[in-house]
Amino acid sequence: MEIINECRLLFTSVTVPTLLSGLLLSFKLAGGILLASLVSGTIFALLKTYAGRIVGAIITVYVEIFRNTPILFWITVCFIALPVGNQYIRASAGLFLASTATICEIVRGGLNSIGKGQIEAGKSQGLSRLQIIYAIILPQCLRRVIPNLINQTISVFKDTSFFGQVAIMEFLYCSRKLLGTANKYTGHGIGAMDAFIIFGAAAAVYFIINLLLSSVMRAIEMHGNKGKVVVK
Amino acid sequence: MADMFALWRWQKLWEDRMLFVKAFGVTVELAVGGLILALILGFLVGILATTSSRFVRALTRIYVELFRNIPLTLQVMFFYYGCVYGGIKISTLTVGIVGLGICSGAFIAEIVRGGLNAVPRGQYDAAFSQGLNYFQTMTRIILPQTIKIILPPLGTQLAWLVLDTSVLSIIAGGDLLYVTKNWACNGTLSYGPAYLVTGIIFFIICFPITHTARKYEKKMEVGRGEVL
Repeated sequence: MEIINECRLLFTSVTVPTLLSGLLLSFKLAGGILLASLVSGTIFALLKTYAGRIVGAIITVYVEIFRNTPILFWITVCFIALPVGNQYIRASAGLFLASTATICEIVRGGLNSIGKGQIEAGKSQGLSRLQIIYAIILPQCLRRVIPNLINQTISVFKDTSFFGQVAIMEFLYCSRKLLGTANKYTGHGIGAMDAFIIFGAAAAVYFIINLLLSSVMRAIEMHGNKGKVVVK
Repeated sequence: MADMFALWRWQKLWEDRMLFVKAFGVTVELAVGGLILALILGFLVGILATTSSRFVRALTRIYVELFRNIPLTLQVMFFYYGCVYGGIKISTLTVGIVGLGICSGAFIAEIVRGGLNAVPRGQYDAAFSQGLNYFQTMTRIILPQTIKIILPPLGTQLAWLVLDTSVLSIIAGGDLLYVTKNWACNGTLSYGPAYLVTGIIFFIICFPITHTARKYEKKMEVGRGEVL
């Protein structure tokens, strides 16, 4: 009973909209970063696979650097070092760069799984290189890597929780702030119960959203397997 | 930009090098402690996830899904602020090791489960037919084969664990990234050298691990192809 009462004090018409606006910001940032890094990651993967040795080596170096250093590190560094853009762009840049590296590796795996025969078939039809990539390779490749891409979506959404570190008012930052000012709403000192309620609610939100995403992934995987004709 | 990496900033960094050495030690402690806990939890839960009891399997599922789908940042905060506001004295190092261990354990459990499922059913039957009990079958027949399969993903997971120690900077964990940020923010604003050095340290630790894991994985793929 005490818990319900505490919840009622903590989640009021003043605090809930703030939390929701934080969640909305997390969504927006995650969505923007994902879309942008999907485009850049795919381009990088194509360049790494088809554009010759030197370009490939440069992209390999880029990917290795970003996959072997912490994301929080890059978020902080980009936030401090970027001379242009508003705070959102500067904060997002780090996660965008890291996500690009991961998506590049994912898409490259997909590209490698497509048989040489597909390219030859395209060539024999008189298609140009760009046409082959655009019309034959990419659609098959992207379909194959959808599960990995959704995993990456979950990762990026989870990683938006780092943005609080550079004072972006995302969901976790708002939750933490609510905890810090909880005594204002409850009328007594901040206790362990407040921490459990607020972070528990935040955890539930993250959990449900990510679980939905992974069930979508499983559904797509099932759907894909149903229609697939195994050619041996 | 050139001023960011000016010589005097590097000298300043060199003067305070012991701070960074100590922070590096904390990061290593976090990673090693977290890894040990994660391996124990991961193998335990991973093995339990392949038992015949539906109830046990459901429990392992809940653990895995819960800790994989909630940001580590939030897990660490939950644990830390729960203790702080609950009046329990707890060091950030303990919070870090437990947080990293439990979270990484969920990922390792999935890897172990996958590895166990990849061992053909016939291996179990053969072992049981030789009169081995469950424990003997696991330790002598199944796990040695499993470990060979899961070594590459375990390596990648280890690298992630090292990178994830940086999350502790959020609760002032005294880890490498926290000290870097603090040192750079205070007084001289020498971000350039501090972050460059920290980035290189992380890279030097993680690159060999991920690189070896990938090489080993490729070798195994080739090996499998030959057998088939």
